[in-house]
Amino acid sequence: MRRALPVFLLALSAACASSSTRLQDDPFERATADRPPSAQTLHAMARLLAAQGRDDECEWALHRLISEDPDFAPAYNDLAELHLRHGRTAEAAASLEAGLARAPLDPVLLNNLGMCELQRGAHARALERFTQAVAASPGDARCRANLALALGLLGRLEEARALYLQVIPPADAHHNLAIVCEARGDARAAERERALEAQLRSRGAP
Amino acid sequence: MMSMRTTLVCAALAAVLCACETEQKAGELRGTAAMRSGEAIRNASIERAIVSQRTLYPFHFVTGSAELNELGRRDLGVLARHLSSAGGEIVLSQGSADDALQGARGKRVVAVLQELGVPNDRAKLGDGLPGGDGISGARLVKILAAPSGSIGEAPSVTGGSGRGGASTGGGLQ
Repeated sequence: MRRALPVFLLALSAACASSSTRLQDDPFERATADRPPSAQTLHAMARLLAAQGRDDECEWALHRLISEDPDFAPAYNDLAELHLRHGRTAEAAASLEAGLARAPLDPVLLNNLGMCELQRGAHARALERFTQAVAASPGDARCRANLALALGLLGRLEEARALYLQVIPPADAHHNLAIVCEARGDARAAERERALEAQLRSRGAP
Repeated sequence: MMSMRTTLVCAALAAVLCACETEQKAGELRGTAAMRSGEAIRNASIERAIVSQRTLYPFHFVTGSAELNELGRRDLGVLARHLSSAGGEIVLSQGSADDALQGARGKRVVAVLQELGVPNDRAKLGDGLPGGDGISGARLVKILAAPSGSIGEAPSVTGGSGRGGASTGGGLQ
């Protein structure tokens, strides 16, 4: 039995090495890797608390994390998500703006602030934020689609269409535009987009 | 004795399996490498669509100004890279801009193209409208083909490009 112990230890260390490689490769872990241990612990704890629905404690942990490590952008985002879960759009936007004051080109913060602006009905401000988010992360299809949405809600359908066509198939683009037109109360335009979508689908378009 | 032998065999198998997993993972694109690869593919796909549309829209400019915003400079850079050798045309969609602003934007685009390395004598603001007289508003910026490039004429932009109100568009085809 005693001879078996070193083999077990060997197996254990191999498993640990594999797991450690995995942790280093994980984007979330990488983002937190250079943080002081207390910030790492707080962020992990905040996420755990959020997953358990213990939002009051989660909020406390995130506020503390931000005060201890104000350059850690994911904390502002997590705090904004928490506020949004409770319908506190203004507080969510304030958290994202505070994050952007430290990291002005963070595409996630910019995109999410754009979503807050959309939720508040401030479509022009949303457009500005999404434009900045796309410029900061040009390959991010989600940011481009959100920019298209803001343009569509502002009635700039030609631009919205062009942007949707950059990231999704034409039939889907018309589907989205129909929804945008309905949201704007433009039934005729919505009907036209639906017809174009149906035409493409009948030709076997995805 | 039998039990100890079984334990030893199990442990040895576990060690071998762990090592196998590590080897297998090392061959895959993971972490930063995988992220960069994915990002490169997404960028290439979006750049292809930008080149296919060959159009600068009002959202590429600072609101009410002739100045390109960061996104406008970035997308114009994509077009400049693509068109600098073969030549071609970039459509400027007018949107709600008046003629004066639209003209200023055209001049600014030509200037930025020169900043981006397109020679002075090869980027020009076009006189005509794309698609003929029936389409209002849009202007063209023409980039002439490089002398050492292709022998044929510079490719022209035809139809599509998201100009029409009910166009089925020609993005990611």
